[in-house]
Amino acid sequence: MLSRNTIPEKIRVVIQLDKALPNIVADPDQLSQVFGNIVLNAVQAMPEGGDLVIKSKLESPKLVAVSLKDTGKGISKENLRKLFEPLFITKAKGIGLGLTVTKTFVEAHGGTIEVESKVGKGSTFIIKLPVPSLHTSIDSSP
Amino acid sequence: MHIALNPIKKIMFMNNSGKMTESKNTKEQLFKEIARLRKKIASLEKSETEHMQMEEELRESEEKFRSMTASAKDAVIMLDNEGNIFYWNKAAKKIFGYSAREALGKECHILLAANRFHDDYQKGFSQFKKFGKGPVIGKTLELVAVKRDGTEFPIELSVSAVKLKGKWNAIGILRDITMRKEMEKKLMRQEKLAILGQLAGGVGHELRNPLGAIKNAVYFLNMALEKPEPDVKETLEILKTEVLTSERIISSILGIARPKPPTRHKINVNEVIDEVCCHETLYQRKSGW
Repeated sequence: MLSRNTIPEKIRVVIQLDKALPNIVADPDQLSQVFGNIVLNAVQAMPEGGDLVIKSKLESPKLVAVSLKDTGKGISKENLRKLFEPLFITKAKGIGLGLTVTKTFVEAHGGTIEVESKVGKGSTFIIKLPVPSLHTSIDSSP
Repeated sequence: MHIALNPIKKIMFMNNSGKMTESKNTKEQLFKEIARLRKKIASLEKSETEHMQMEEELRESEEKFRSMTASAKDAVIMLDNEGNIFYWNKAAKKIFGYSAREALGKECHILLAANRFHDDYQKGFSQFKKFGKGPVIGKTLELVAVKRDGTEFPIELSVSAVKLKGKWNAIGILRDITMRKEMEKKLMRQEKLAILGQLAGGVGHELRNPLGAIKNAVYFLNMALEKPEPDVKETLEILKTEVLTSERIISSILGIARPKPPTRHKINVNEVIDEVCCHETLYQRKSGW
């Protein structure tokens, strides 16, 4: 997915996955775009290196939560408001659709996305996705 | 008040010796005249009350006009035949920032119109002065006006002509349309963006196939060249990563421009995270982490 964003050696990636996480009903392509976009932003926010911590956990019996925390440059309050707007961009590269599409996909899954950020300290994106009730039907196609 | 008396002939006359004698018809005529005068007075009294009623009605209609224009959101400005302001309502004060005292008696266009429109105004008004007609009369126009503090803003103006005491006067009703203009601009921008979005979606979709072909070609070259030179290998790497970048951009564009409902698969989020973070295309690390 992320290609060029070969994560540089300077960035330490810590992944803490909750092994008991229940399955959810979702579009794997869209979800990998969701996480991929956030990882890519995190990497680009840490040009000097830093930590990227990705955690998954069962937030509640009906909610799976994934947090992606970086120690990058952070997002100003001003920019936080516009973060998900189409064509909003602070980087030299890209067209400003990454987080817009991320939010669109998360919401299409009935989920939510939150951001916490402090300039100079880093940002944390938290994505919550619903766990289906037992009787939800699932496409049989792969 | 003047009531003409009918001449009563032969009411009385004086004889030669100075003695007054009553004429034969005089009494009858006198009664008639009194009756006529009574009638006249009655009709005058009636017209007096009518007059008072009319005055009352006039006062009422004036009051109506005043409260109407005072509570109106639109500025109501009246100009005399010289183009001077003689009526200025509350909204006019609010919109332009001039109090009635400041505005009354001033030449309207000098006070309120932007400099560049003064010539047009002059031409139009000279025609209006004589004939009660002009380029703005009876129309609704969008113009630029100037506030007391000098800021220009868009207005919507409608002007009508009214003849008072034989001379043409103008009534202008106008509103500040700054908000509306902004909305229009926003809407136009949104429409443009929607069209661009459609275009981007179409382009993205069309680029997918050739990009797929390039990707396959790179894969084939990678397989075919068993031991490529270092610079060739590096070039192939660049090709591969840039194709992936392009794919990601196209996916984002299509995700916005042609959003599809998510497919419904039973998946584990951990696996997706694993794939995203540990996939070869992402990592390509020379050493482990």
